[in-house]
Amino acid sequence: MEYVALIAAILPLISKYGPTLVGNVNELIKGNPQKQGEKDDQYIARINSLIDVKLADAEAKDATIENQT
Amino acid sequence: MKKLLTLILVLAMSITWGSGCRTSPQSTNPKVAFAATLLGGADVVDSVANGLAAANEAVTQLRATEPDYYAKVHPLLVKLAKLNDKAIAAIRKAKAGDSSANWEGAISDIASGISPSDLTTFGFKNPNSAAVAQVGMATLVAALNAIPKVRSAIDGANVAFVQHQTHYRVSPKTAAAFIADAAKAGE
Repeated sequence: MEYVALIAAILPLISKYGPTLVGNVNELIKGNPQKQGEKDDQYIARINSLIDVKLADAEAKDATIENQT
Repeated sequence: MKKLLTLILVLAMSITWGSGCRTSPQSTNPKVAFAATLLGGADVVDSVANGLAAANEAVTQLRATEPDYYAKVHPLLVKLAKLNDKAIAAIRKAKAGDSSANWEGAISDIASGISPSDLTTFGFKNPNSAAVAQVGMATLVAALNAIPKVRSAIDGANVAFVQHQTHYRVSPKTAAAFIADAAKAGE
């Protein structure tokens, strides 16, 4: 019975954050190199957009934790 | 269950391994190198934030049955979230061209903010709670452990770029000076 409770507690965490973990691993391994034929200014614009998205996502998640009593 | 925990640990460890294998951009344009380097910083703060979200969900889940654990760990998560916010602000400043923004230092401060073992070392009342805490903290611990390696990869990429410039008879610069120049170039 305890085993069932443990699985019930852990599975939601794994299903929710497991893909994120795998995504982070892929991102860190592959990085975002310049694509074939991509000009410098196009690459910089694409990377800057990615940076903005990541920072906004991180900031929102941090705020949730900081505001929790 | 053991297989599941092993899988999680392997994935967590692969973040540390993977962080040293980033692909560098091929361009010799300082702005390109700087953007790619800054993205490395954004990857770190986003990974930490994702880890914090998972960790927070785990401690919240344990709040009713392990109130002392919640009282101990939640403030640590808040501390890390605030350090992460400082790094986010520093990255934004650097991206905007502020060469004085020490975003690499702010990232290192996250890693040294707490000891990862403090997140899981606790006298739990229920043995199942320890397993929930381990799983919940795995992403965060992996992200924190990866930070020194990512820093090293970022510094290594900068040094390699400087060496490339030197090879083409451009005056040698330190990695720090390169970052400052690249930031100015982005203004």
